[in-house]
Amino acid sequence: MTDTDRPILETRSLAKRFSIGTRFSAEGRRTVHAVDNVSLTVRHGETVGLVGESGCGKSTLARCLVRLYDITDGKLLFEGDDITSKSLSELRPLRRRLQMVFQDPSASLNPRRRVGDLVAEPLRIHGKVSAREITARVAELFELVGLLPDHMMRYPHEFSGGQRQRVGIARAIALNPDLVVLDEPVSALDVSVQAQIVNLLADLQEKLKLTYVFIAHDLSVVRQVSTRIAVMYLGSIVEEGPAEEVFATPAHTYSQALISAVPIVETTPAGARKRIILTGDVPSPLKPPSGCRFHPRCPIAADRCRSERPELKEYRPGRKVACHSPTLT
Amino acid sequence: MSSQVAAMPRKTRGPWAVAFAKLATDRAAMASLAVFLIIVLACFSAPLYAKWAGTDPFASTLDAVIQIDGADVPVMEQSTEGLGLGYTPIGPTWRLGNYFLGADSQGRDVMARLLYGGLNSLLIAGAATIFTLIFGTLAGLIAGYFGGITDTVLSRLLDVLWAFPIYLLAISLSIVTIAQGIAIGPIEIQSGSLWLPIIIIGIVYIPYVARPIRGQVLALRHSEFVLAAINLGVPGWRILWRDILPNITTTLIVFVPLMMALNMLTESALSFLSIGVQPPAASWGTIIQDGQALLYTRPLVALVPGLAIAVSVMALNVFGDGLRDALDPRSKVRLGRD
Repeated sequence: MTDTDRPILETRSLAKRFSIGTRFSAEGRRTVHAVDNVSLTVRHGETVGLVGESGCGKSTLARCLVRLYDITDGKLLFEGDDITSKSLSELRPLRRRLQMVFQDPSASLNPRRRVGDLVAEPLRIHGKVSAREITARVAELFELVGLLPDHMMRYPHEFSGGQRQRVGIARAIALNPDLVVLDEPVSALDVSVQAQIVNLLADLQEKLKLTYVFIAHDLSVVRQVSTRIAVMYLGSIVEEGPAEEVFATPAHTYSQALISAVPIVETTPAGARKRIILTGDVPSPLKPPSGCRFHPRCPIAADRCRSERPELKEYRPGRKVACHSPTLT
Repeated sequence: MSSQVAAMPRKTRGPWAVAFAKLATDRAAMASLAVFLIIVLACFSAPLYAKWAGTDPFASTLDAVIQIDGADVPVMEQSTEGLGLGYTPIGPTWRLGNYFLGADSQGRDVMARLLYGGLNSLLIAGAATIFTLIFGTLAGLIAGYFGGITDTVLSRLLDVLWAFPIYLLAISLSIVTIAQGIAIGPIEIQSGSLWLPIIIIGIVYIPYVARPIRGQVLALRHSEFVLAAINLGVPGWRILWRDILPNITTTLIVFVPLMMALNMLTESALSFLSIGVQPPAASWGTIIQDGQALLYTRPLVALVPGLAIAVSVMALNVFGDGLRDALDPRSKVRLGRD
C-alpha cells in the first residue's frame, strides 16, 4: 500500500514559545521555549508514540498539532496543506479529520452537559441532519467504545474515569477522523483500566483506519501501541525511529536512560541490564542550556556538546538521533 | 443487563436537581424564602387592600373623619400642646382597613402606603437586579472570553465604575437625572419614572457582577472542555452559550437574592434622600423620610417600613447564603465590601 507512506501530518522546525510576565514585572518579560525545532512526520495508518518526562513539551506539541495553540515558528502541514496560520474558522472543516483526546477526562467533559449531548456536539456542528439520526449515531458510537446507549442521558460525574475517557474517545471519533492526537489518554487512569482503554484504541484504529499520535510518559504503554517512537527532551525531539528498534538499541543517552528505567520482569541474568541513572533536574525551559540541551545531565558530554547543538540527523533510513556521539549499532 | 439496554435512555438526576434537593433540606433558607414570599405577596396585593379599605394612599386627606367604635375621630388632630399649632396624625387603630397603622403627616393610610411602597421597592430592586445581571454577565463573558484589547478596555471601564463609592455615584447620578429625566435618542425617561432608580442602581452594581464573572470565564476559557469544543470546531458564540454560560449560571443564581438585598438597601437610601422614588408615589425609603418628622409623636410611621426593609434584606441574605451553599459549595462570592 502506497497509502501508508503518504504523510498525513508534518511539522517543519515547529516551535511554540510562551511569553510570561510583562515589561513591568520583576523579572521582565520572559519566554518559555515549550516546543523547539520539532520536525516530525506522521504517515497514514501508523501510530507515532511521543515520549518524554513531564514538562518536556509533549502536551504543548499535541495542542500545536491540532492548532489549539498558535504556532510561533515553523510549519505545520496536513496532507501537504499548510495549516500553520489558518484562522479558527478556516480550520473548522479540517476538524472533522483531525481530532484529539485529552489527558484528563474529568476536565475535558463539560460537567453541566449530559454525555450524549457532548458526543452529539460534533455531529451537530458539522451538519449531520435530524435529531433522530444524531441520536442513532450517538448510540452507535457508545456501543463502539463499549458504553451502554442507556448511559447517554447521564452526566460525566456519574461515570468512572475509564468510562469518561470512553466518552471522550467517542466524541473524538464521532466524525470519522483520519488522525487522532491522543494526549496521555491513559495516564489519569488506574493501571487495570489503562489496558482496557489501550485495547479499545487499538481496536478502533483497526476498525476505523485511524492514524494516531500517542503521547505518554509511560514507555511500556507506548511500546505496546506504537509503530514509531519519538523521544522528546526539553521541547525537542532527540531520537526517532521504529518502536522496536528504539527500544532494543536506543542511540541517544537520554533514550537509553529512559528505557533502562522501565520496570521489567527479569528474564536475563541479574546484572545483564544496566540501569542508567541521570543526575540533576530537567533544566528550565525559560533558560535552556547552550549547545546540546541534554549536556548538563549527559554522562558522555564533551566540550563540543556544550557549544554546538546537534541536529536531528538520519543516520539510517527511519532512524534519527540528535547527538554528537550516538551509540550506533 | 439485557433488559436495561433495550430500555429508553433513562434520565438521571442532574446537578440542578441535586442542588435543589439539598436546598430544600436547609431550614433557615426555606424559612427565609417563605418570609420573603409572604412580604412579596402582601406588597403585590397593595391595590386590593387600598380598594377594600376605600382609601387613596396618594391623596392628602387632612380633614377626613373616620369612625372608630361608633365614635367620630378626625384623622388629623389639632395639637393641644404649647401654642396649639400643627396637627398630629391619627395613631394606629389596629383595625385592618381603617388606618391600621395610623396616618402620615398628610393624613394618608400608612398601612396602604407601606404595601404600595413595598411594591415599588421590590419592583425597583428586582428590575435593577435583572439589569445588573444582564449587563454584568455580558461584560464579564465578553471580557473573559475574548480577552486581549476587548478585555483591557472593558475591565478598565468597570474599574472606573468600581472606583467610586457606590452611594456617592448613585447619589450623583440621581441628582443629575432626577430633575429632567433622561433623553437619549428615542429613549426618553420622565423625571418621576421608576426607571430612573432602576437604571441608576443597576449601573452602579455592574462591576460587582462583571468582575467575578470575568474571572470565572477566564478560567473556563482555558479549561480542557472548552479546548475540546474548540477542537471540535464549535463556533465561539456557541461555546459561550452552551459550554461557558451553563457553568456560571450557579454563580448568577446565587447573585440574585444577594443583589436583590443590596438593591433594596440602595433604593431605600436614595428614596430617603428624595432622589429615588418621587412623591406622591411611595417606597419604603420615602415613608421613612415622611415619618422622620413624626418620630416623637407617631414613631411607627418610620419604624414599620424600616422593619420591613430589615426583615426583607435579612431574609434575602439568609436565603442567598443557603442557595450558595447548595449550588456552589466552593464559591467565594460574597457581596458588599463596605
